[in-house]
Amino acid sequence: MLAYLMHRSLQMVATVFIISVIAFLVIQLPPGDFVNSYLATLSGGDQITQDAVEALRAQFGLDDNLLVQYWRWISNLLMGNFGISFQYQRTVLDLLEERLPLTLAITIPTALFVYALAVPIGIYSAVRQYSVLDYTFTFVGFIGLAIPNFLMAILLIYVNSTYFGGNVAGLFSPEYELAPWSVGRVLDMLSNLSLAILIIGLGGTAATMRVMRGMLLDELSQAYVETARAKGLPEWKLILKYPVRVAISPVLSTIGFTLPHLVSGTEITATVLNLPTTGPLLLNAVRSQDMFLAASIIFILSVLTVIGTFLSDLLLVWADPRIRL
Amino acid sequence: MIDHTTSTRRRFLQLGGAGAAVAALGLPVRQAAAQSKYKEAPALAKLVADGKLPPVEKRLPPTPVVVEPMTSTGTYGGHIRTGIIQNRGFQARSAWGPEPILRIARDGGTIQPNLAESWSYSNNGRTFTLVLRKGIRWSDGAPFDARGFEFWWNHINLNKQISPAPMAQFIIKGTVPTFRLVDDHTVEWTFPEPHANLPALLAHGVGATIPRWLPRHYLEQFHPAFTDEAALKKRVADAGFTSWVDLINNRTNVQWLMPFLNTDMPTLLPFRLAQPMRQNLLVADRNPYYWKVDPDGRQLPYIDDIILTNFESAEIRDAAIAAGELNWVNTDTTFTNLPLYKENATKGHYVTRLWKTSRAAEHTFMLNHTAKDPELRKLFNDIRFKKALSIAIDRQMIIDTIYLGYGKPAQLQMIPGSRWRDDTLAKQDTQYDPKGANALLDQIGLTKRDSQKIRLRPDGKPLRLNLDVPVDDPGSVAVGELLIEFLREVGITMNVRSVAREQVRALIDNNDMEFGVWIGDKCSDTMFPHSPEWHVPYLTTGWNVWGMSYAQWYESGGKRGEAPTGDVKRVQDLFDEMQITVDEARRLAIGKEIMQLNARNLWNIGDVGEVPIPVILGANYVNYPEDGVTSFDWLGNHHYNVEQTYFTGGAWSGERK
Amino acid sequence: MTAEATTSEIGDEGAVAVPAAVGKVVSPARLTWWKFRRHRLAVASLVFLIAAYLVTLFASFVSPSSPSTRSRYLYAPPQSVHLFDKDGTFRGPFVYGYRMSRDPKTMRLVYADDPSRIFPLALFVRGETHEVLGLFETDLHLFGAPGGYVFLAGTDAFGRDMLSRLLHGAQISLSVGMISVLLSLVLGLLIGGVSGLFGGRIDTVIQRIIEAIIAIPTIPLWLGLAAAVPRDWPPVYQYFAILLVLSLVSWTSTARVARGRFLALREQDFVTAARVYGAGWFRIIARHLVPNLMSYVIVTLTLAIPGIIIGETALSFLGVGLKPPTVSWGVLLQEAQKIQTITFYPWLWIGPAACVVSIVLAFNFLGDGARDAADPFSR
Repeated sequence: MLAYLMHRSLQMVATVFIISVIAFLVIQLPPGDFVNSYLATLSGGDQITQDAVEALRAQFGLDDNLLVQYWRWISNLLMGNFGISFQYQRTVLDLLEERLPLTLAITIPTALFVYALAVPIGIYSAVRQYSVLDYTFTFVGFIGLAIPNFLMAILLIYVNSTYFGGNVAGLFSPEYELAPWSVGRVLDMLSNLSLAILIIGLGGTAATMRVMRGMLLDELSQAYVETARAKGLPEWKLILKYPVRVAISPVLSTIGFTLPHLVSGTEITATVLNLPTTGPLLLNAVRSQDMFLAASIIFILSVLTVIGTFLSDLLLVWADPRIRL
Repeated sequence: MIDHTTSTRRRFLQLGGAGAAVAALGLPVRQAAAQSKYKEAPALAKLVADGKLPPVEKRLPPTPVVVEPMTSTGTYGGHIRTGIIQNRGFQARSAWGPEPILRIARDGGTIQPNLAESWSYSNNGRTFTLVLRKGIRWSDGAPFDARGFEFWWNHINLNKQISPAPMAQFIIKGTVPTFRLVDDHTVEWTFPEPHANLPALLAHGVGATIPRWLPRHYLEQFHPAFTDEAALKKRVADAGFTSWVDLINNRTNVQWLMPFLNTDMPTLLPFRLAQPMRQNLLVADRNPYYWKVDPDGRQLPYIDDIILTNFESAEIRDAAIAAGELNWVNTDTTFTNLPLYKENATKGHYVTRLWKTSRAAEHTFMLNHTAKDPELRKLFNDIRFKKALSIAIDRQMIIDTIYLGYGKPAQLQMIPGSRWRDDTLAKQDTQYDPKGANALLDQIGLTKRDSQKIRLRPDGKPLRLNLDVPVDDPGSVAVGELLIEFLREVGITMNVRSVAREQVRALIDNNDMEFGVWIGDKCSDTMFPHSPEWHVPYLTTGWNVWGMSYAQWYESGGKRGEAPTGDVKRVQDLFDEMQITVDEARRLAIGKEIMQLNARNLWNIGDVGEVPIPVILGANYVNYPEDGVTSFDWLGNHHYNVEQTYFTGGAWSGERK
Repeated sequence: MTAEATTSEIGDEGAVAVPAAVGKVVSPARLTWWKFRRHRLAVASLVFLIAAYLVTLFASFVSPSSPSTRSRYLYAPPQSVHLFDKDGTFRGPFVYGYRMSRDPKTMRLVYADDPSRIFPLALFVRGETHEVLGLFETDLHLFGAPGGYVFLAGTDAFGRDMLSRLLHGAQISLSVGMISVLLSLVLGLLIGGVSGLFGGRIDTVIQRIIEAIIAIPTIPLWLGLAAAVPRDWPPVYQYFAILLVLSLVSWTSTARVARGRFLALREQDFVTAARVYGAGWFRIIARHLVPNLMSYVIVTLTLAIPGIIIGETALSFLGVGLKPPTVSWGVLLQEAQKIQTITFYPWLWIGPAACVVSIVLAFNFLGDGARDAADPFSR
């Protein structure tokens, strides 16, 4: 086991390194560079000559070749310096410190909410296949999937503000936006977050619930279930003990992806609900080719991805004893 | 070049005098007659009582600027609630009342003193002198004086590390002017030729941007010329940066003309940064040292603070308006959402007014006259082709379908009321005439058609126009969709591609865009003489698609881009002349000729003019016009002095409890 | 429990069973079909889907107009079909004309029925010429209101008939998107299968590649691609090219899941048996392993279909989606993502959303039925 861990850790380091190289190159794919997008933010009154533009490129180091730029970034990063964001004129670390805590405060409860709701519903739907409730869950689930997140969010916001007097613009109700941090302010923030959690959670819940149902149906039709049943095990105990443990494998297989997803995957909802999470930050950084910011966030994502898949592999073995890695 | 030297000299005298005269007269900004007892906001009075702030007389200049209220003097209190979209702050610009060095008067045109109390030309117009107001203080209490200009000019503007090139708007005939600090309140620049547009520039973006670098008492600590190297190095490292340039840029970071990151950064605006953008929320509160008062001697601004929310999408911003969460949105509203705004106005405690903009046409469609494809290039330079395109557009249809019946067919000339506007030229080639368009295209020789009835180019390929539309402008996407059908009628097929703004930039810069569209703003008298972005190809950082290669040539002095000939060369020469011509009659003639050349060449194809813009203001918000103008040309609408506005009763009626 | 099911004694590979009720040997396919037929919802779904595809195929004939024909009735609500007029007289199926006016307060167009204008509906009416299946031109339409107009699903911002747009939109959404879904599924199952089946070094390499694909952001990829796709291609081709790339990066979760399952299954006796008999890995995956994942496959498919239709809306956000005048359900949903639509014009989002939901539900129930029918163990 120890050898496996060592081996795997080495692999993880190598993977992260390779991903960082690829990511750095992929960021450069769209035409133009940060100076282009910087110029795009200027309005007609700001006038900059071509010489100044070239000097700006030199100042940002964009006229060096990509390898040099990569080395500059990764060597600094290894020493704990994430560089600065051209766009925000702030250090990347400062930006992350602002946004990561809130991101986690939203995404972790969302992930828990999704699993806590989806797994039991999935199990119920499989065991009571074709019951009224199963059909209801199916129907509601697919409505959740068929309406784009953005549309769904606008809909919920509209309903919330029109019929329940809720708040459109984000994190705080007006009475708390200027107040210093207090218990009331935190509660207020959480109540505004609940809508976010609901909206991000809906899509995920519907998908996970369908997967759980499908896998469990596959598993329930296996011979060993019939055998166990014949031996007289109580139905619920039987289902929970074996088939569920196996059927949960897709959820476990992809649980590794939820870690990076927690950081990047809430773009749409964050956009709609005006939540200052890392999602929109990454989206903007990538769009405007704010290199160090984009590369640094991607670096963090890749670290989370490899750790996530590692954990997910361990969970797979734990859940299904037949698996050998 | 200038062959009327005597008359220009006389003009200079008059102009300099005019500046002084306005300062003395005070229209509507005038000096206080007597230094009576001044009053201040209750919150500030409490700070004074607690000994945390000097008394108001000590904070105000000896003779503070008196701002005439638009209708009535106000009461202190209330929050301006505004919003920006995706951190693009065009909206925010006017919310905290930019304080440029000079300013535009409420009439939207006249230039007035502001931070500077007068300006004048001398030395045959080549020397420009600014005299600053005395006794103004920064928001931290430090005095504001001309030594800040010396710091900005010599240590920022001419420092190669932080400014790759000196500010372009100060460069006349390719030469950086010489700067002189005359005394504590006077500065002057000497140019090779008179810089005729400088007052207008100082009353606009340039004049509003410079103050960022003027608080020298604060900025010296970040500058190597004034700070011991070891101390600076430590300061830089502690903040997580690697160079002093990064640090000073971060500390002085200004977005939308106001300090944005750093609450310590001194400002001269009515509001100062109280809480930087965190959790998409920014707060700017009253500047205790603000240097303007109302006629009763009450220190402005009346309103307590500005609460600004960053919205990640325009739709959600509009949802927030409809829900009654904002009371001050007026430069980037969505016209098509007018019914939504109107419907919820009463419930949301706001009013929706319709103001004018600086758009001579909502959109300008521009064919790249230096397109890489030789066949297209030939067509795009053929006036018959451009005419055909223009009259193939059913502008009334655009008005009825997109603009709720508002607007008139228009070319991209100047807005009504402009001294350079010619109503005939503005309407020329705007009548809907598909038959005429087809005839013109036949006349060019595009008579062969394919099975889809699309005309074939001489090389046998179907005639296709590729229009690139910025993805964040729903208006041009909608007009583009209609244009596809209009052009199909005359046998031209069109592809619309929506492109992210950053990519639009790259496409234009590399001469890769064939057909582009942009909002047709900047067509007002405040902007046109110094920034005729659409009418003259001179600006390489603008969005002029039709002549970007010519602009590159112009700006690089012939090193890049493509040399213009004929009418294009002529408008560039005219623009050169405009920059150094002070004589108003000549300026009028120059502008008229530029407009005529534009009409003759149809470099821009306009769609619909005189479409208003919805303006959202709190229901009990006072001292702002019923019928105003708002656009980048007026830095939003800063010329209405947001500092003298207030809510009746001291709070917005829609404020939630 | 029926006789059929109880008497089925079925081996691993679905050996021939003899239903007592029938008393003669039937093929597995026929048996599956019998079982499927008993699944009423599945049958209904199948019928619905066949009908939907037929309608889609002949969209230009079924719809009253082309998707880009504009009318002067902007944002008009759906008309309802009446049989009796206001006086109670039977008039056959008809719609009322609109009485259109501008609300002076909001400047919005508002509509009411105009009882004086009655447009009877008729079958097989002449209208705009259109091409059927790209074969021949005709001006015949399934239905219409001769001498009037009919907008059964309302109109959009340009006064275009929503019903016609929905029907034409189905052509893209039910074809192009599906291909990408299938491609991504096949890739996922194959690559995941190989990874799980062989394990060891191959598994390691494939898993690391998956990690890389997951971690690399797709946005710059799209932006780069949007610039790279030739502009002379028709919008549908451009879109298809982008979907192909989309499926090339979206197979990863399926692959992870398949691999997880196959790691367990490869130790099972039947796999070993198949190996001993010398079956190739492709055959093992396709014939032995994937059937064990049938439900998962169906679930993935039914999840991927709305995913891809909606994914389009996210692509348009970056400027790489379908471009006008091409319509799809994704485009329609994208156009509907406006607060004003939700407040004033709900038919603009309810229409496309209802289409997507009903198609996906139909695929889902069909999938459930097919799975039950194919599964030898099902009750």
